[in-house]
Amino acid sequence: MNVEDLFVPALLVAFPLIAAICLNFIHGRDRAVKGFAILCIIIVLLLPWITQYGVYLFGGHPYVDNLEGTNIMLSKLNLAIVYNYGVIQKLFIALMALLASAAIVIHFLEKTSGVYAAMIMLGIASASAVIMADDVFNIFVFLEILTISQAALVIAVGSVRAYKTALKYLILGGVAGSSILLGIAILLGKYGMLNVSDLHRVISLEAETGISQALIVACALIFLGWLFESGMVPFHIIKSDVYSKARPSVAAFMQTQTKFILVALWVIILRLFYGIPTFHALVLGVAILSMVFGVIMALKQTEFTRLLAYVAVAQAGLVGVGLGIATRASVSASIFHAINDAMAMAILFLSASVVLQITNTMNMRKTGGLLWKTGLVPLWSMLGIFAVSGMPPFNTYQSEFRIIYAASEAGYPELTVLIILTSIATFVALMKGFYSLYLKEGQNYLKEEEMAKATYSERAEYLMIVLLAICIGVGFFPQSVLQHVQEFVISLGVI
Amino acid sequence: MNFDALFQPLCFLTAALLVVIGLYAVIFMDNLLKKIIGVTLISDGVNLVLITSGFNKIVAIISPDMFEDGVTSATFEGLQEFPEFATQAAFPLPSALVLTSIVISVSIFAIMLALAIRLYQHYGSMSCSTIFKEVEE
Repeated sequence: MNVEDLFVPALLVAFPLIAAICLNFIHGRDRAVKGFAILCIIIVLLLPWITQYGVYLFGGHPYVDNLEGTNIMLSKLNLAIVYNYGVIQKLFIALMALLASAAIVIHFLEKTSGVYAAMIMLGIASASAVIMADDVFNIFVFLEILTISQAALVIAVGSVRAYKTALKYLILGGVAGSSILLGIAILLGKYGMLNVSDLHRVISLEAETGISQALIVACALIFLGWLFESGMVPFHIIKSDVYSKARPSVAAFMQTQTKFILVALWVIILRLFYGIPTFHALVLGVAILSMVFGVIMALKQTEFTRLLAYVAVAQAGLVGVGLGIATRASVSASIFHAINDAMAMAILFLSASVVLQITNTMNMRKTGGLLWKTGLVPLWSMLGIFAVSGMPPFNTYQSEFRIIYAASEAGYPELTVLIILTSIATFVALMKGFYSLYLKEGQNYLKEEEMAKATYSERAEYLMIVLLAICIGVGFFPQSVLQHVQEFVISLGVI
Repeated sequence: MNFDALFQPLCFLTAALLVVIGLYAVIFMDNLLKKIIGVTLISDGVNLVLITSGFNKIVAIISPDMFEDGVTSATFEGLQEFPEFATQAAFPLPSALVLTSIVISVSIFAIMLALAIRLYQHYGSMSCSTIFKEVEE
């Protein structure tokens, strides 16, 4: 047996889960938690790169016709939990692992908590499972775990406001989760199977004679769950609330999870319900609303993390727009944009993390005058703003340009205008934040003597530089990523 | 009156009632604890739908290949070769799913209750209009 055969996709889920359980057990022992968390995060960073590509049947069950030696009939179903692992899944999981490492390492010297690190690990495991899984119930289970881990990371802040946000998130998450489960129950009752590939084949055959009402109801219920998980309208407020109440470095990780879950769940929904005529229009509608509401809300915010949270929602809306147009070019551009924007937004959230360490507030009425107090962080922040706004030579320029071009080609010229306006409004909102943090006259706290001694985590700055380098690198060589995205979209076989 | 024939529709009706009562509690009730109970009622209703679909004996695992031959879950007769088994056995998959779903619901319920206790300690009230009335800056 070869050593590389051991690195199966299931390990990407199993290892963080086991790590989370172990971290819970050693909670309270500071040195042990630190050492073990660092070890885990190194392994989590390495795993996506050494895991073998392919389809993995969790439990190793192959297709079977009959159970030998018995009269029990088993049909040719994917009876095991199936994970698909390709280049796109690798990119998603590797990027998530990178930002998860930031969430752990940046706050590592401040306060050590086994539970906090465990929730980060749980977040990686659940998001990885949703990205790879080909089974609707498995996806439901890990979406619920993801909701719990995100709520727990908000609770970790320890303020009453964070508790309120976490409770609201859990209540809505409970309703959205039940909605997904009801959709799955309808699919199971009607078709007797849960595997997405099997369901896709069966539903495609059925669609030739017409779409059943049960399928439409199942689609509507699962679609509601997708809206919640991806932070689309009407769940954009709670999602931005969660981002803004969490620590900024954790928010960077969370917004990455959300964007990748948005894409992964949409792919599942598309494969199941692509025959429903209004499906694409519905996706496009909510995506446009999310994009517009997100950027309008960002413009009126007075708290920097909340501003970033709404920009993240608007950018998720932009990803949704490309998915809603549903041509090969637009979907490729959208998935490309999800990867690019996750990196660009992370730069800004990390800059917010640095500012928060110095000012202890994100209220833009109270901040200011940090331009010469935070080394080169303002420069990286400004470059991050350019990246999020889709300016050349950054990677988001490449993806936004392609979304606009695809929208124009697909016969939505008015949409191209809207996307350009959104980009301009995003830039204005972010510049307002930049001015309030760095350029505005210094406020009272800057006059205190302690201010001169104020320090911030240089680890956050290093990570910003790494992300900026990747953004610029991908901006110059977009085909290095886009080529794999295009192959992935073609492999879906429904666009 | 054949009670067996009515059992499944009655279960679906109960599930629908649970979901509607749960939604009512989540949307309209002011007490935080009632909202949390509402969420669990919705979850229980959905679990009941799943388990009831498993009670349907003619629902069975079919393969896409069989589906191509015109076989649907409603017309699948593979189990009729084993009449005794077919009359006694329920579709086992939903039971396994519901078990998992219950575990998840309990986890979420526990966290929600813990948060409700913390908020009660801070505000001295379970009223949502009291807890969530503060205008956030």
